[in-house]
Parts: sequence; C-alpha cells; structure tokens
Amino acid sequence: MKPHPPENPHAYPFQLIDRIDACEIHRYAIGLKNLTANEPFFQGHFPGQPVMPGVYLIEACAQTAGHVIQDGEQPVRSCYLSGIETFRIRRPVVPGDTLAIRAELERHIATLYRFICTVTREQEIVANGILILALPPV
Amino acid sequence: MDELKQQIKDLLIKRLRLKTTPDAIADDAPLFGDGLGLDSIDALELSIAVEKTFGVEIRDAEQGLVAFQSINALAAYIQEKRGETPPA
Repeated sequence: MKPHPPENPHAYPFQLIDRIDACEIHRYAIGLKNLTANEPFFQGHFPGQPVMPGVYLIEACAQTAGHVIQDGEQPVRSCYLSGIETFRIRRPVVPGDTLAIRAELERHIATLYRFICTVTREQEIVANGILILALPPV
Repeated sequence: MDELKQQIKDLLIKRLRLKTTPDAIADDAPLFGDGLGLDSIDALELSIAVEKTFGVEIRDAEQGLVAFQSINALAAYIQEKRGETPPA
C-alpha cells in the first residue's frame, strides 16, 4: 500500500485518489477513493443532491493510471489525459461511497498509453472505460 | 496487394474520420506530419484498428515507425506479419 501524497503529482482540491492499494509498473494499479460529504464538487453538483461528476470519475481513473507509467523515480512525473475512447457511468456515486479504481495498461506506442479502467463499489461496477494518457518526454 | 492497400485506405478514412477519399491518398505519401497529417494519438488508434481488422499487432514505437511510414509500408508490414509475400 502506498500512502498518498506524496506519490501523486496532484494537490487539493484535485486529488481524486486517497491511496494506491496495488501497483505494478507498466501493468496495472488499483487506487482507492473514499468520498466524504465535504468533497468540494458536491457543493455545486448538486446542491442538496450530491452526485460525483462523471468527469471526476474519469479523472480518478486517469490519476490511478498515471501511477502505472511512472519509472519509479522521484519526483513523480505529471502525465496528461489525452484521450477518452469510451466511458460509461453506470451508477451514481454519492457521499460515503468507497471506490476501487483499477487501471490496466493495455498497450503503448511511444509516449501514449492506453488503459482499460474499471471503477467498482462493493464489487459492483459503477463506471468503466478506455482512456489514453500521454507521458511527456523529460 | 492493391486490394489490401485499398482496405487500409478505407480503414484510415473510417477510423480516423479523415475528410478525404481513398483515391486522394497516395500509396507512398507519409501518413504523419506533412503527408496525411496524422499525429501520435492517431497512430495509437490506427494500431488498434489494424490489429482488429487484419489481425496484425503493432505494439511498440519501433514497429509503428516502420509500419506507419506510408500505405505501401503498412501493406508490406501486414503481409510480412501474416506470413504472406515478404516485403520487396
């Protein structure tokens, strides 16, 4: 289990995973996200009816995927979400939920990495899709 | 070989949503940069499309550099990997 931060290049209010539960470089990672009622995005999405925005689910997948393509050296390099090939949000995600986010590297060409991502809550798939990340050359 | 090249052009246009016709793509024109103007994210998408359509893997940058030079190069690469006619 990796604590988080400092393993992630993101900071408040944009840290969308709380820790990395498993990570094999260039294979896969599993990120964990606990949603509290205090998440900044719940204030406006929506007042009195909090639901995690779909784009934040995508970002949580991308942040998890980012750990897979690091070379293990510090500091952690920022990578960029550069493609959403497909993404489905199947269930609403609300305060109190714990999400397990799995990002599996499917292939890469040059600096582009294609991931199959699955977000589950108590074994139920709440979202899944295929994302592409770019790791800019040093 | 000509049929394969035609199939590749059709695939390129369809998968990458190019606003051109198969006849307008020269067999020896570069696919990237000054040629068709594709970029690296197109290369990734194309590698998936080639794998699904022709059953041939393009899994790394070195293979991609060879295969994605032109329509001619891609056709030769596919034939070679399928164990058909070796490239000229």
